Amino acid sequence: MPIIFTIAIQEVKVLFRERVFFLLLAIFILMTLASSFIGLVATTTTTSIYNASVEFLHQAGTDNIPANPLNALPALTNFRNVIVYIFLIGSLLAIVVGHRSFIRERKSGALPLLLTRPILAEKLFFGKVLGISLALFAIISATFIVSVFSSLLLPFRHLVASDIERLFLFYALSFFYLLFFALVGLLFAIKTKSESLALFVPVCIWVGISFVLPELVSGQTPTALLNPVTMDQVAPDGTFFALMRTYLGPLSLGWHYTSFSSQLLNNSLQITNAGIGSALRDNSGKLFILLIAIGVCLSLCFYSIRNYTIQEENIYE
Amino acid sequence: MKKNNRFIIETKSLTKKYDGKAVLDNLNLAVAEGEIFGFLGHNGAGKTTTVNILTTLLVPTSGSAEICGFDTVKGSMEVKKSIGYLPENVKFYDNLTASENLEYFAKLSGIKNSKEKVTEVLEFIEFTGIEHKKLGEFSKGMRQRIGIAQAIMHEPKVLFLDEPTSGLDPMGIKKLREVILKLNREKRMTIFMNTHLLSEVAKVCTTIGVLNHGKLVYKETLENMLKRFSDEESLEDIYFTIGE
Repeated sequence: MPIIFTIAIQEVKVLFRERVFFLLLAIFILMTLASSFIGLVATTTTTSIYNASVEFLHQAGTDNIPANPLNALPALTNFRNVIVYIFLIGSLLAIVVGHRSFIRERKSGALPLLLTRPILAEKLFFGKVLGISLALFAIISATFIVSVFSSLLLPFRHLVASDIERLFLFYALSFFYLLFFALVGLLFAIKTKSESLALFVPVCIWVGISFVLPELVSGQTPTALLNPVTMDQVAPDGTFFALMRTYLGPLSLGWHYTSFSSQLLNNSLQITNAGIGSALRDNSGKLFILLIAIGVCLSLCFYSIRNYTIQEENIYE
Repeated sequence: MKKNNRFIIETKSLTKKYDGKAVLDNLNLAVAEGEIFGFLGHNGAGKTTTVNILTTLLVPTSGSAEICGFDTVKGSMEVKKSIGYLPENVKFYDNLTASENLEYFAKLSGIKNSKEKVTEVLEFIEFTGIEHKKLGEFSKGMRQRIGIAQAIMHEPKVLFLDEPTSGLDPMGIKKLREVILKLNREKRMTIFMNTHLLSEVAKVCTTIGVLNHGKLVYKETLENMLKRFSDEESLEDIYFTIGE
């Protein structure tokens, strides 16, 4: 078996034996189930209010009653909270996966053993990245399956083939978003000397991407930013926000993720009528920026592993 | 003791500086094939830095080091194929079993029949029946023996041990000593051992070198050293005399 796969399998095997992985998986699945449950409760409540209103209007002698507006919404609307969960919690947990990938070996003293084996640093790097990707893929796949099955809980609206296709696309997008944060975690686990700093810096980056940049670009409050709205928000008038939107807008990964995800899960008109291909074309710029960000992180991790030497504080007697 | 004229480990004017401060200062050291070399020195003398350079983990500031005739910088891949290494306080992957840990390192060393190799190595070091136990349940002494097993899996020519007996109880030390001697006798492995335990040096090593503030101040076979310092009461007294 090629060394890259050996390292990747070891990465997954070790992660699967750690509590942190099961915690991660449990959180993702619970988030999905919570989203389905909230969707179910909201749908049931709204429908019962609608039915009561219909009965009331019938008794009042009104016959021209509009149809239940919920029926016009796609079933995937019930999963829109998952966007917020992945955006906020998922990305933070992905940092932990990337961080653990390298810190684990630094702390256990196994790193010198790896570095004194006749393997190229490139293979070690690709093995680790493949292992991290496989772990994230397993988590995302499990969440996707739970999403599909939990949709059966919704009595009024079941997923159709195009819904599953959109859900799949949403989770694929989420995978890349999480991969970016996992690579940030990996990068600082390699670069920094102390374990706490290796976690602190990625969390600062997470805050910047999740809150600061979107706020600068949109001029909205952080709470408003968490709303998985379908349309790009228009920044308030003023030179500052106009400049921010022009120059920082393209870098706002969190903003791109939430707006594209919302289109996939929320907006029936844009997606259903124009098709997924059209949605992908419309959001190709956002996808491209996300992939560029992943590419930059990969390059920095690669460079850091190639030039890694045992930290000085560890080698001084 | 097996002796020949070929040096399997050789350093020439080896220097390592951190922030301008020399941790190793023009170290010239040669170890012949088949020796058990005890590298002595106080804390901070530069022993671990020397081993880190010899095992390709560090690049020297100046000078050179060769293992089996290969430069540790230019020929690092060849050096890695020739060495086994057990650092101080290695814990491995706690959640994996002993055999899972060893199989991983065997695969990284390019061993194809890793399962069989693990069994063979554990039998050689007389440490069987623990294959399916998680390393998290192991004592320090047991971990050190697993450490030795991973280091000799690919049958290296030179084995580097950094403070191998540190933190071990007397039984752990005895078992580790037996393994080291067996490796040297039966596998003809050259062993480079960093230590500050003089009693261990006397029981295991054939040659000793003393490092003081990054400089090699003494190198001699144990036999000759004991003759030279026959007036001293103990090895400890000899060590302090050399240090002076």
